[in-house]
Amino acid sequence: MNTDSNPDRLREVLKLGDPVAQEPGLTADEFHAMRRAVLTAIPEPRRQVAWLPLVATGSAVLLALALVVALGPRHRPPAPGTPVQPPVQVAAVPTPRAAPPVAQMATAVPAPEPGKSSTHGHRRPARERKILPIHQDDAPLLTASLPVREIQFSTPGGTRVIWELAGNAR
Amino acid sequence: MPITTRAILDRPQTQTATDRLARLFDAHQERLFRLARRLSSDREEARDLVQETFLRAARQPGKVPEGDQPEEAWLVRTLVNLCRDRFRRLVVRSLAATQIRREERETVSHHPEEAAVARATVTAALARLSPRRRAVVVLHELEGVAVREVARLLGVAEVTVRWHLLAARRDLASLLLKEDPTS
Repeated sequence: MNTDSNPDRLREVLKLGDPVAQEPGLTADEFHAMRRAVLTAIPEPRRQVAWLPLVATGSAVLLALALVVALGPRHRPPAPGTPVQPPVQVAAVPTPRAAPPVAQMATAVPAPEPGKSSTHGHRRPARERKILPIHQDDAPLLTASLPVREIQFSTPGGTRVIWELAGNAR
Repeated sequence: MPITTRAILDRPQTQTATDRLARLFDAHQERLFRLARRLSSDREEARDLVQETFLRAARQPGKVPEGDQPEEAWLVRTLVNLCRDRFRRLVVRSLAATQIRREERETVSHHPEEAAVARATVTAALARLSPRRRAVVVLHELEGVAVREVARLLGVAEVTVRWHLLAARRDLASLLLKEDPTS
């Protein structure tokens, strides 16, 4: 069938059977019902959450503060009635020098001054027990009679350390 | 119910969307119903198609372009797409649909009124076309829309419209002109 020759005829037949030509459009009731249904179908706009960043920031700051307080150094005041412990002190102990010769020791070491406390400075100064005259002939006796140096320490905890040094010790 | 600040802030946006949709409905509902009626087999289906088209515009107002012509084209395309969706669903039930169409044609052929016969015959013949081809025929042959305008409304090329027209004329001529006693 040659359809190119009769497009007007086809259009005529189509218009003859056009359903809209015989029927009315939407009635007033249909129009209003459809309009109402369409307009009420508009979704509710999403609420803006502008407060959310503020809440998040505040929560983060609070969390950081809580962590600092929980994990940081603690400075608690002592409870009443609790003895306060003094901080540990390290006594400065001078390095012992090499002992001088016996002859010099006899003259260089001064005698301890009477009345001075031996605990002053946590160190008791060395003292001489005996000073014997030096003779050339009795060398063994000299060795045996050398003065003994005694050094005493006392720690803050109460422990006393006493060193006794032979006269010829270096 | 107390009026909150948020409700006051939201009001202009909602009001604007409602106003726009109302204007869209008032401006295009008549034309869309005509098109839907020509694309569908009965009045109820046409009314559903029009309402569904505007409901899509209501649910996605941002997708409707601004301007009379673009928004009209968007509505027409949406309606034709909805028609295609329905057509695809009908294809699934093709056996039943074919049986219904055959019964319609047989019923139509014995109808006493000539106008009703012609209307039912044209409706049945149009129903055999695919939705897009049917839309091309309805827009061009029944509504008198130019090929270029049909292409713009449906969002296809002019050559595509011409090809659909050629094929539709061939199919419709075999259905309508063969049965027309005057041809």
